[in-house]
Amino acid sequence: MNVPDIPENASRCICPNCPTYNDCMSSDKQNLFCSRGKSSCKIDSNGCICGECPVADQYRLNNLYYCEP
Amino acid sequence: MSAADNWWVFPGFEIETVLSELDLPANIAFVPRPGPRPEDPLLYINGLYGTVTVMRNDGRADVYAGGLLNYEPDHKFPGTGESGLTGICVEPASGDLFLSMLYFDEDKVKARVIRTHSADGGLTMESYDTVLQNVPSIKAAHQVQACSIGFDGKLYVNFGDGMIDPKTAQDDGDWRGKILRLELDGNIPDDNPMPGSPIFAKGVRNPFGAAWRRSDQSLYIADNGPHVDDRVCRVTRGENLGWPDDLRRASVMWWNFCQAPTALDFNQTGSFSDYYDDELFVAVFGSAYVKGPTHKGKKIVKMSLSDEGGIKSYDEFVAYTGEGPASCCGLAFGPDGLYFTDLHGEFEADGQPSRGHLFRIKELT
Ligand code: SF4
Ligand code: SF4
Repeated sequence: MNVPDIPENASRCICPNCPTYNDCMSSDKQNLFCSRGKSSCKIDSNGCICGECPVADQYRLNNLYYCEP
Repeated sequence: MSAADNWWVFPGFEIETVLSELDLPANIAFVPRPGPRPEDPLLYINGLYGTVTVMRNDGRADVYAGGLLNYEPDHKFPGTGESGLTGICVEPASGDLFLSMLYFDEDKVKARVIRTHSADGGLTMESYDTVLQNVPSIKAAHQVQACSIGFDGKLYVNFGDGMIDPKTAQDDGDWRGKILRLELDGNIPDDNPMPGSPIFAKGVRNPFGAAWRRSDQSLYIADNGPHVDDRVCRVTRGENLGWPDDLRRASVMWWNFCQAPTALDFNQTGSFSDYYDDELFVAVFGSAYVKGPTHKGKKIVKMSLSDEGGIKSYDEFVAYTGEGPASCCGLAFGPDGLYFTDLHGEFEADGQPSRGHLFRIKELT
């Protein structure tokens, strides 16, 4: 299912709590990668918590690392 | 109103609050053969952020050990805050505790298991030995989880796959994604499935809970799937439990819509009547720090297992009805009922993190 890029979904995105979320993503206030697409930042994979996200639940997402280029 | 009033319980049972003001109570371990004196330890609770609480026979609770993490946890739920001191069990002969946890080795996150010793009958920790260490980990879920002592007297440790590469669960040279079997000093038993390897079974993803069932002398685990297939598995020696290819393999049952099962235990010590004999009770946590009742988790379910390896019945046994972030996490049968913890408890106060509880469920007679 496609995830709409709406404020409600952005506010429920839990990416900022993720061990992979880094300073570059934070300084750009990046999130909701499952809707907006991959990050422009360099990423070291340290685990993905999309599986615990209420947005992923609602839209039945089954992938991880939406931020990864 | 008591925190216990925020829970619905199966007809014929009641819930009472046993302890309050606990800091993220994650798991419960009963002393297998508690001493007779009021001051003798009855149970231990590990707080996720590095404390262990002891409760005595007389109901008094004290800190057994604190400061067991060598880093500052960050309270990010869901996320990096869901990590720390996760597993606990009591060694029956000595009363020592085995504890599994994360630690930082310079800037690297690793997992270890320690064995604690007490010089005052189990009321405070005096020292500890490291039984296992240096296992790569991450600061999130999927880390080292439950530890348990088997009927064979060996130490079993559940390891999550580490969350980064699921293939680690099939790599026989990596302890992540495995159930390990160790001597109590950390050495590898001579009779393990693969000579020289601590691996007892492989192919697990995030196996939070472990319980030993007397009727078939087997270990059962609660394992968490990705977006589907949380499961309960019976673990047999040398078995491949399927992750990442097939989480239904070797499973007693699975949830198609993930519920996040955490601790589990069997009614096998007479805590409930014979009608519920050998039934399996599983805490299902749901998502981290969700307030109020929800479709996902925040319950305890019970099931009776069939001789064919599946389940015969499944019921909700406890469900959260309050407005706070409480959710069932630790669970264990004690001499007088089923005990569980609610990890986050009710609402935070004055900007402080919320405090958790220990509850007891008793059968009405
Ligand atoms: S699924 Fe992942 S990327 Fe999408 S909103 Fe949730 S945490 Fe953010
Ligand atoms: S998409 Fe996944 S890996 Fe990337 S920041 Fe969000 S939760 Fe973390």
